[in-house]
Amino acid sequence: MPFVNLESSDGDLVKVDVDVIKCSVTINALIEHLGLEDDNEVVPLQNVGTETLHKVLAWAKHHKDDLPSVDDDEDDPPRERRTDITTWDANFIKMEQIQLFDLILAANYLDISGLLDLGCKIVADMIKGKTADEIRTMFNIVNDLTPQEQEQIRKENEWCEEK
Amino acid sequence: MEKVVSAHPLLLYTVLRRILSHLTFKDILSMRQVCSEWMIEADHKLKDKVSVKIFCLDQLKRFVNEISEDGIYIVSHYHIEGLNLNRIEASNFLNKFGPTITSLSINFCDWKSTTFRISLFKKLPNLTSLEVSSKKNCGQLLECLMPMNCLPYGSFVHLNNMRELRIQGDFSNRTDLFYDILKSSPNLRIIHLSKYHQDNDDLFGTWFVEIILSCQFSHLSSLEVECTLIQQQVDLLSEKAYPLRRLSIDLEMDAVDNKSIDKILGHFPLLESVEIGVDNVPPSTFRNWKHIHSCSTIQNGNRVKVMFPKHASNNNNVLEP
Repeated sequence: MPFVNLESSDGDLVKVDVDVIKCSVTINALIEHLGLEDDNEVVPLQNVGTETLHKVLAWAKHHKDDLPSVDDDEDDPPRERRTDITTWDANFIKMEQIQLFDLILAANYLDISGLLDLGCKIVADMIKGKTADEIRTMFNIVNDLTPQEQEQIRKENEWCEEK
Repeated sequence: MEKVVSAHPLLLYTVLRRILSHLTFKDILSMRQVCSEWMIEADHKLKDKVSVKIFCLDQLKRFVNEISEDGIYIVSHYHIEGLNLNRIEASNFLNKFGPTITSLSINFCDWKSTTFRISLFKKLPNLTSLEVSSKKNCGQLLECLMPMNCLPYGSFVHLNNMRELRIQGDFSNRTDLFYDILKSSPNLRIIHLSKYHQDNDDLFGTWFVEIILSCQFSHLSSLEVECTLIQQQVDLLSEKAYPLRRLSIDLEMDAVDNKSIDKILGHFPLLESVEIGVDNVPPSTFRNWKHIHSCSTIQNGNRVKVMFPKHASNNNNVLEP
């Protein structure tokens, strides 16, 4: 079964080499659970739009021959995680914030560790050095903390030092 | 196909945790103030990695006034330095935050044994790690020896949570307190005693080792005592059933021979790191010894540190409980 048809949430079908999309734990699991055996069968991806799916596949194709990621623990300290971004990835990830968020959601849903890490690294770079207000504004995040809670956290932060 | 409405990607914990792994400590603190979801994930990341350091009474008073009784959830370690702990401010601090403190360093502070004992046994029920450093000349400045266990009858408790005890300096005038700590902490995993190098008097260290050897620590995995053990103490140590993985001791030259070392290495099969210091002995003495991994001269050539097989100085993490 060298190819599989992926159906985006927009209803579009995209035929892709199974070898290219093996980086997705979710798609591998779907192929296995749905018992797909021929090239004409369809894997529905309800959470991924066509435009985003094409971007995911472009990334997957470029990284097809990468070694499987062993650094897949999100609790790893930053110094132990990959922090370098290749030129290809840097160019690939240049996009509007809404597209970046869609890509992160897709990588998260499809369980593609390398792509999720790339998106998160870009977001982390955007966060660095910003205040909480600036972060909320930049990402359109609703502040659900009460003024008292915010004041308490601010005071706590003044006392906190890295152990 | 029905399109699923997407959540904000930066509110998903799997995404947030990946973002956090690329951020510095300072940026993660900022993340705590963004929203409750971010605070939860930031706190998850910061837990056990945050310390509060207090260096003067004004800071101590301010901390007591500013922080709620629950303490700071993410703080696991308090470092207090250069304070007079006999003051009411210190008592207020411990009354308010004592139950939230799990790890405490007290460096170069003034404190009476009575005050400290009451704090330790009554106000710090969840303490797992205690580190105490003395002023270099505290023996001349502080109180006389106090009687053993001056807590009211019936109030003596076991420090069952205590896992780690680190002491630096000479506490000859506080032997009563450390006697009580060692005797009431059966679950200690790490015991570490170091002294200031200019202190030549080993009386406190010798006493300290004597008390350790009179206790049974079923979980003791690391014993580092920077004082010279006499032959009888080496024999006693070799009879103990500690599950030691790291051992660092100093020996009298008379107590150092292949037989003694064989005895120690053979008795503690889990040992991964052994360091033995000997004073005033040329390194060539150890040339023909069995098992030696390395041998180095330290402290102006007066002291030799001998390391035995499986020395794993880079493997300190294996000692963590």
